[in-house]
Amino acid sequence: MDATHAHDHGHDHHPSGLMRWVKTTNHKDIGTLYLWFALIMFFFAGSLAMMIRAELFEPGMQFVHPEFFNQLTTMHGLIMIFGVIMPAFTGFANWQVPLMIGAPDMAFPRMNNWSFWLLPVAAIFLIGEFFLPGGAVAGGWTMYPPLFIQGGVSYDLTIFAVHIMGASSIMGSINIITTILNMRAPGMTMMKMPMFVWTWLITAYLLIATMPVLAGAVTMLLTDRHFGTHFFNAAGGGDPVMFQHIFWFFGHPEVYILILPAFGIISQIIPTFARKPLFGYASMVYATGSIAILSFIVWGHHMFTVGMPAAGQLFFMYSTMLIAVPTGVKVFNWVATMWKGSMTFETPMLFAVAFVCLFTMGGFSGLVLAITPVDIQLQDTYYVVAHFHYVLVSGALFSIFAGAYYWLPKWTGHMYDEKLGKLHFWLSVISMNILFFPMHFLGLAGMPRRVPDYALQFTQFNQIASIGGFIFGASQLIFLIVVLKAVRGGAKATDKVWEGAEGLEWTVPSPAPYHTFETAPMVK
Amino acid sequence: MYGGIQITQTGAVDCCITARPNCSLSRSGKILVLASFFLILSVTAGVFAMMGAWPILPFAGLEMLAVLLAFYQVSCHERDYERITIEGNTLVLERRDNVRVMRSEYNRCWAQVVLQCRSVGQQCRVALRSHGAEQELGRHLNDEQRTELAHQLERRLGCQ
Ligand code: HEM
Ligand SMILES: [Cu+2]
Repeated sequence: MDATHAHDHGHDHHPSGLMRWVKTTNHKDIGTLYLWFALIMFFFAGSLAMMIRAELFEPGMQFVHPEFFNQLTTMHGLIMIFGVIMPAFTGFANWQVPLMIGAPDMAFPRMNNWSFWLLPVAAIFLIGEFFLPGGAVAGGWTMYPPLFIQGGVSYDLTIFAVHIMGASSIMGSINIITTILNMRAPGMTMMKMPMFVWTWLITAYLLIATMPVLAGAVTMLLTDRHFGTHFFNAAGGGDPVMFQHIFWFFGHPEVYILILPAFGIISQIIPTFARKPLFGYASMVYATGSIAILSFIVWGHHMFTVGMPAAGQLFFMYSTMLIAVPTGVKVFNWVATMWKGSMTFETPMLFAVAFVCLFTMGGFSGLVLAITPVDIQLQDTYYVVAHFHYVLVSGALFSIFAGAYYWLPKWTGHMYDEKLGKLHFWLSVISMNILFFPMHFLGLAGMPRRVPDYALQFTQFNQIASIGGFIFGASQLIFLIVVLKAVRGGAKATDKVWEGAEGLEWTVPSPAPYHTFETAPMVK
Repeated sequence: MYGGIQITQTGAVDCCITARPNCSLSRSGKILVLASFFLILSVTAGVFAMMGAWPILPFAGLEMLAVLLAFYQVSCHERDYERITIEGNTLVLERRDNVRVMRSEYNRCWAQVVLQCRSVGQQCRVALRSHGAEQELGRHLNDEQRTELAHQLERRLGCQ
């Protein structure tokens, strides 16, 4: 990806080499940084998951100590959420939002640089914990007290890291919101914005609305730990259940922060490969908005067993079920877009179709868990693990893959290796089901989550899951190879990489010969 | 307001090129967005504070402040522009950055346009160079508009 140009008569004033990346304020550079960061973290958090699956291959303790096992599950969850899915989506936003709305850059380029560079700092804190006496945090990604009040120094580091990542998210969200609202090209009204831009606008809203709640919650943990307050410390009259309310008031909208941009990516890809405009654009926008609003009133479904009045349980049950309605609208629209379209199945489309099918399954198991009496049986079992991995792996992660394949030619100027892409897809989608589908049965049969050892009758399904897990893990190396190959070369990509693609980003050159444009483009 | 580059031809070879940022957010839009943030944040932080979890309040306040500052910044730069007027043998570069207005003159014969793109067509930078000094142009423009600006300027520079 080397530089410059026929018209460069003199010296280059860009910082080059490493400093170029450290100092960059360009949305594309920062998007690239976010994406590489997410990919690296993905392999790190993924290797933690491989250790988890290795230990769970057989009953009994084989490879790790129970305490270390808890560190693995906690860190895997924390890093996958805050270090992989969220940064990857932010990377997409940085790259695509300005391109899609015709803006020169993000609204605050320097702040953009800061929001990225806070992330590696937080990651170093988190990963560094493994080398501290007592090891990393082992209290679960949900950080419940009293465990989180009692732990060692790594718990403080985690709180610190969460603060830093929160600050990064807030700066990123403010940037995205002001960019989308104020920098749209002439003619691009709100209802003409691509769906990806819409979903990110709403996601940034959610982030701004919930981040202070998370920051407050972990701050209270910190003061309970060190400054003698008793917000959550029952020994001093505090209320640990209040932490759960506060955490999930943030935590449930957070899971939508992890899926709304995915909806956006899929809504760009399906119309492209079905060669039809998105069915029901306006209803897609309203459905996304309703999901965001509803996500604030359902947090109690994570706490059905803490002792809640029946009226509260009913409220949370019905409000949770209500979310299935706008979600159903979205799934319907995706299917209707494909209906009678002239579809082709390049890798991005394969991942998008898999998304629609498998995410729907995750939604259905969510509906099952929403039924209070059922949840009382299933909570803290592997059924919950199956549910959220169907929405997060075949939902959020697959959409990231879909988007990466979709835009890689635009980003690098080179086509990716379609054969390897398809191989990556098929191995991922098959092994992902081998990995997570048996977890439904394990949960229904009563195997608890977050345990390093289990009763004999769970052995077979765990072995199937572990084998699926290892295949899934290994398959992701193919993705790394595909990306590296596309970055380093390959067939030249055209401006409009995909035949059916629509939108401003495809009028921008992928490899641009100089002097292409005689007149500046305008949105019709 | 119109964003992008606008070219007014004032003579056969003389012209005036103006570049402005896109500002698609209206005044009422701004108020609406800020009010909705204020409402959401004050209600949630307020309710939690009443339950005894007051440390959420200062974070909500800080964040609201950050959002306000961002919107203030946006308003400050709404009327920014860059204007290049070419008349006879002089080229005048005029740029407004918030309240500062800057003006510099160049000799049309000596001024050069520089266009540098990191990878072909991407992350382009346009500058006007004369006497070894450079002035960056097109900060309100995207890559294709910058390329276009460089192209337009190039056609018009040089001794007439
Ligand atoms: C129709 C939509 C959905 C419904 C009805 C639903 C319902 C639920 C319910 C009731 C639980 C609590 C289970 C328990 O702990 O006993 C739960 C857990 C969870 N859900 Fe969903 N969900 C939906 C969509 C999603 C989406 C889109 C995501 C993320 C992308 C998600 C991520 C999670 C996670 C991470 C947990 C587990 C949290 C933990 O305890 O660690 N869900 N869901
Ligand atoms: Cu939830």
